[in-house]
Amino acid sequence: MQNAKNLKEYRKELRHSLDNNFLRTTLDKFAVAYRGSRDNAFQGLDVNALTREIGDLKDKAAGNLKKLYKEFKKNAEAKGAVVHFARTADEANEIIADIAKKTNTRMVVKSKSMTAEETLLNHHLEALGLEVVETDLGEWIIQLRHEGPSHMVMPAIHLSRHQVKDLFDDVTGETLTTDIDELVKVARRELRQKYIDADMGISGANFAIAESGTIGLMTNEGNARLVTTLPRVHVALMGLDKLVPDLETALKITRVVPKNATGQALTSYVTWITGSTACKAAEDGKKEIHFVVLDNGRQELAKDPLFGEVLRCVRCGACANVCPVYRLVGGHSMGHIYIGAIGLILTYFFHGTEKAKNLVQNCINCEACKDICAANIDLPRLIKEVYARILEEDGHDLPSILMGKVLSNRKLFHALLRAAKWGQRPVSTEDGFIRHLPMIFSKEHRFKALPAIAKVPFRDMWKKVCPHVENPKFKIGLFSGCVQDFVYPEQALAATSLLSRENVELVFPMEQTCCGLPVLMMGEQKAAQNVAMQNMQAFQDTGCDYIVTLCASCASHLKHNYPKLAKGNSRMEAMAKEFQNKIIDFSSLAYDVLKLAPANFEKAGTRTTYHSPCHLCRGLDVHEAPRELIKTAGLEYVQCSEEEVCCGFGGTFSMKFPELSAEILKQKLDNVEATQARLLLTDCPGCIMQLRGGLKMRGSQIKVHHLAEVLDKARKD
Amino acid sequence: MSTAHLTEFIEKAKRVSAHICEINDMKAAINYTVRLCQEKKPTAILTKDSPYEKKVICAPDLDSKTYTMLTTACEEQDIICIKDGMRQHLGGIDIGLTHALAGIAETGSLVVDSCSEELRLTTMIAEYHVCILPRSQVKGSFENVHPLLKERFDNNQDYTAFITGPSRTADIERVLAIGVHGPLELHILLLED
Repeated sequence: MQNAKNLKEYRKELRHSLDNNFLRTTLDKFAVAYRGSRDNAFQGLDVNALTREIGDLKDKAAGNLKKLYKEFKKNAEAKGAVVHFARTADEANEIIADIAKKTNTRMVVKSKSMTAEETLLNHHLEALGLEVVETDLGEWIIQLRHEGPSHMVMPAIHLSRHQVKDLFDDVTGETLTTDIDELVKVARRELRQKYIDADMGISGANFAIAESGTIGLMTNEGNARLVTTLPRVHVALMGLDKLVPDLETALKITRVVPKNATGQALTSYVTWITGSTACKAAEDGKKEIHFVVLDNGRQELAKDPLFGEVLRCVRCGACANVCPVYRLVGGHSMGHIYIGAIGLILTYFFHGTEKAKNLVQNCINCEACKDICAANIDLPRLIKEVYARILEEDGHDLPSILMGKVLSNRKLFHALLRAAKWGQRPVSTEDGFIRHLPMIFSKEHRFKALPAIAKVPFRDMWKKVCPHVENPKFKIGLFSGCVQDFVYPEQALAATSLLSRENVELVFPMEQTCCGLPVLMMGEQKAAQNVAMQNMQAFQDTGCDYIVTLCASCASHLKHNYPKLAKGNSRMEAMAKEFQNKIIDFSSLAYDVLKLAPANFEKAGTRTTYHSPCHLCRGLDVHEAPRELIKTAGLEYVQCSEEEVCCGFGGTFSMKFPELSAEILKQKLDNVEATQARLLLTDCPGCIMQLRGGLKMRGSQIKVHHLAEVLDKARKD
Repeated sequence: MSTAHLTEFIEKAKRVSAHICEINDMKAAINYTVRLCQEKKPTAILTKDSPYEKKVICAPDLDSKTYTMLTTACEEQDIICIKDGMRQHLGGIDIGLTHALAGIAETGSLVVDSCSEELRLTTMIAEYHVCILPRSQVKGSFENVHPLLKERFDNNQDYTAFITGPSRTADIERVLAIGVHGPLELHILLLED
């Protein structure tokens, strides 16, 4: 739940979560175990094809909600169910309260429903004097503790067996042990009588099939079967987005959700309910059954060209499972009611700006959620778009306005960077770090050493170093990005030297500027469009075969976000399309296009490990090239555990949430040190800044370099 | 049904802790069930009802000839055999014996017609669920059970379940625990037909 009034209060909550050792250990273990079980569950299946298909099928359904609802209602009612439409959360709660009143219900048992969490149904019914008991073990535990869920499918993941034991001691009046089997049996025993006593059972639904009026429920414990069987009344509450046209679609969703949620092939139970069946507790021997279908803004969302895809979500919770921030702070800090990446977005639409405004900034943009999503939702982008909307409503804060303005004006931006170089001079150290952090940084930023601005930026060296190549194989444009231009020009120099020896002609247009990702991260859409246009124009008439960048984040932003930023402006769209096709990351260029020959490189055999930048492995789907290049460069590659997990940089994220950035980095460096490598390579200057700064603070001897640097050094002639 | 489907079905069902036994006829199914009942610990009654003096098997969907066979076998072992009245036994029974409509190899699941309240309660309240699945009804994938389901959902009021292993949870510290609100064990009897 989000109650923080501002970012400062929110960060205080985050620090509190960071101090919860049990939570940290549990989520760490889960993050690692989950990947393995998911891979197992999907073995032999084309995961990407499956998730794309679900995205497409759900899009189609979202474009057809009215018709699907009508069809569902007609078919369900023909089979004895009553279907209600609720425009708002309150309306849904009132409809259900009304059914309870008419059916003389005093006691309700529930099986898990995120939609009921969304409407805060329990509070509503309890206020009317009804007894409401959750029957899913995790939900029951958090109900007894008066908490909200901390994960969409594992609501009590934040609690230890000791906490559950204490809770169950109170419930039973006995002194239990912490044996989990024994604790589970407490739920089995305590809840059985509740099912028997209840007049009404409330469930959610994983889907509602229009062609037959059927609902489907996936559960492991079997509580949904008892909730929908023993009481004489059954009410299922579901979002409008649960409507699917047919059984075929429902089966496809069923195949993917449990695998993606927990790595199970299938939940123990999938329950398909079509209309009213026999119920011996009812006077007429027939179950009274109601389906309450909730809009709560979903129809509006469906019409939104950008946010429509939010309705693809099948609530598997996987976006939390892989989120490095969720892993640190858990669901109570990484959501309001809906948790994880999708929670950041849904909170804005279902629970409003106040609840969403701090939360939505807590995305490091590593794209792990997008990569894992069961329905192929571009979650990181939508999170940024929500932030941009909130800024439009609430007004932009001063730092982001300034940054937007500065970045839109290349000359001003570069002049400021050059000025910064003079400012830091007295505090720079020999090895290129700043000795003391400038005053604007608080103590939370002290987990890494920051690099000094280079004496001469790459752009000022270009004329001197620009190589002349006779009969080049390719003409390639170099997009340096700010960090390599002004902080680590040696990386761009290395690439220049290497590529010219590989018979490549390089061009470096001086009008290029920041790629614009930092301003997009800050929700400054207009500034992001401005710099995109400047960069595309800078390269427009260069006649390059490719445009290479040594920064994975720049590459992924130039390639994937420019066309999105260009939407609606046909001239810019055409430019972006051409531009996009030319963008290539350094590793792919060296490995796939230039096919660097190992014979041309010295063999030093240094023990070397790798950090895969988020925007390379997920942003550009490049995995093999950099690892092969390490071997090409004559080094011994040792794999690091969680090599494709974020380093915690995230550009402006590490400025906004230094305490989170520091913890993610710590995990990364622990893994790196465990490899006993002497050299750590990567493909992104941002990651290098983070990793190098962190290792320096640890006093580690491990050197961090860009792949281009070691390749250039090992090249024989 | 192909042998490949059968092999996959058995492998996937075992992976989710289902017990599998191949049998030749219904007599073998009865023997299996009665023996299992004899060997198991008495039911832990979950309501305030006093514990039963005898063990209980409920078999709601057997044909009358097979049901008579089961009753006779139970009498010999002093086991109570019923086919309905599950609402009087909500504290728990020992074994529920039912049929499945089909099996799904890709997940090791049973498709169980649960329209009858008696059958539905039997498969949830019993500590052990023994389910007879004709070998010929083992299908490969979800797509292969689509026609069967569609026929049921389109034209009738219906309650159908996919059952994959026993009831389970990982809600406390993500540790897998078997037997939450449903059966503690699932036994699948693959019947030669």
